[in-house]
Amino acid sequence: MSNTYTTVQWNRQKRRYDKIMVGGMALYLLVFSLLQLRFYPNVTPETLIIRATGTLAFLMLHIILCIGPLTRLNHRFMPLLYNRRHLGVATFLVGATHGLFNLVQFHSLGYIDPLVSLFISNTHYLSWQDFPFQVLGFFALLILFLMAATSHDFWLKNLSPATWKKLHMLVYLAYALLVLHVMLGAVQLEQSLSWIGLTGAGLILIVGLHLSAATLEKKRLLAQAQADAILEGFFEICQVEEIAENRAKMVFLNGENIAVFKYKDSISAVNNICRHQHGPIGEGKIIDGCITCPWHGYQYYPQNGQSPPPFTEKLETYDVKVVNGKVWVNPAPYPAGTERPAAIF
Amino acid sequence: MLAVSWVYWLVFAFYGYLIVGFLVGLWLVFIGVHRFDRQMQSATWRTRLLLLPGAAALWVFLLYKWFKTPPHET
Amino acid sequence: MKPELRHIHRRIWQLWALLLPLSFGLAVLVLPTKVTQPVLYDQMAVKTSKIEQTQETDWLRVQIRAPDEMMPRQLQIVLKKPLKVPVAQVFWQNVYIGRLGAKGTHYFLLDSSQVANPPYHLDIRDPINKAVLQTITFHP
Repeated sequence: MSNTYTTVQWNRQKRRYDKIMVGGMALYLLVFSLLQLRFYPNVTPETLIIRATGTLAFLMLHIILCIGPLTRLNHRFMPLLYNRRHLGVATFLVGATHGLFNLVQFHSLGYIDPLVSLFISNTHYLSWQDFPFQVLGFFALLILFLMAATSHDFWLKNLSPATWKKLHMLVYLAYALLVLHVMLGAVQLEQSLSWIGLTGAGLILIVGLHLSAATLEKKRLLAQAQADAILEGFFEICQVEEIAENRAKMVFLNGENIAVFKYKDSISAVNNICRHQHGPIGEGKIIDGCITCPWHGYQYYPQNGQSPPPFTEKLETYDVKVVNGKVWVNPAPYPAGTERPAAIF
Repeated sequence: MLAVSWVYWLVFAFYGYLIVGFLVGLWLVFIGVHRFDRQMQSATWRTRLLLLPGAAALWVFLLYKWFKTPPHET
Repeated sequence: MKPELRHIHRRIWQLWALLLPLSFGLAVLVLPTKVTQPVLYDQMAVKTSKIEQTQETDWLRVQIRAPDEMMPRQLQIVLKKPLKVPVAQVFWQNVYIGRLGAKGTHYFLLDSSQVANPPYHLDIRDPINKAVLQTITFHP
């Protein structure tokens, strides 16, 4: 990280990202305007700008809201995240144009202050159908402004990452406000089936993506927590492949001298000290299914540390697990001769 | 109507907050900020102007940070 | 991201999954009855010959044209100036029959049920500011 702030930390990908973004926005505005002129030949320029910027900002917010869950569902979407903050700032600018033109066209003709007019020209605040939907747009725009204004790294650092993140989670509120703004505003005025359909489809997409990403994340966390719980008290030893077949790896864990044997797709752990003359059992091999001490050939079964009858020598045993190809051993010893299930890999 | 006069008050308070915020924000991004964020010392004026809208909106928070940080020797 | 924030994320979207479709549905339910007749602009309307009535204000000229073999009775609204409001709705006998767009002439077809009970009230309303811009009454 550099020791000074720059306006934008440009690099090739960011420039490319922004080029695609601006190109897409221009294309949308062009196509939208042409369609409007085709279907509403009498539309005024102000109304055309209001419609084009309003729909574009709403569309861009949809794209922004899809990026987060998409990257969590599939890492291939990562490049979309790369310059999301510029996408956010651009969305605010387009939304602000929409808001400004509305304020001028709807509220600046009288003697009342435009912003006061916005709040009091329609006072059906208790009505659903006639609710002053422009107020909803105003507050959504305020949220988008706060996010755009604090998108620089300076704010991430000075607000603290936790506060910054919470501030930027207000975008969910902005989205909800805008869905209502559209449904109680443009849709009520135009009664256009396509706008209802598109808004509905967007709603299903956004909510669906966020819910599925959240469910996936919860599953991951749960699996992680379960793995942590299962492996509590266990220590990672090595990869399964690092132990040769019918041989052992010797480890010291919590003062315990342990031999971890691999045989027939199984791993078992016993105390590393032979009961005969304290020979290093882990240097021996498994012969005829029995661990065999390299010094004098004393033998023990790997699963329970017991010598085959009629012998009575016994070794302490330990719990072993294989998780993701790694061998884990719990150094808490079981009484000598206790049968413990071998870890199968 | 009582509610309408409330709207007037709130809207003008909002304007007032932003006007004060703009002035305090200007001072903050060019001078005040150095006290609590030394990384800003070598920042260009373009970077500072980029921070101005946020400073105008969150000037109360930045001013609080400024008061909390003791001045350092230069 | 911290698990705690993840948790908040999940809760928010579970709430939104409930509230947003609900309000979406409610908004669709309260939609004003769909207008079945399109607004006819100058170039699309077939003008009937006889003007039955004319009323004028500083920004509107409203005429009722008599029916003939081709067309039913028509309401013709001429906007003399551009609208100061972006959306203006036309109500005939308190029934929404369409909206006014840019400066120019707009035609609305009136069927026999709409001219059955005189006098006729024509309202031009601004739905965004919930204001009645103009009321005109016709006595046949």
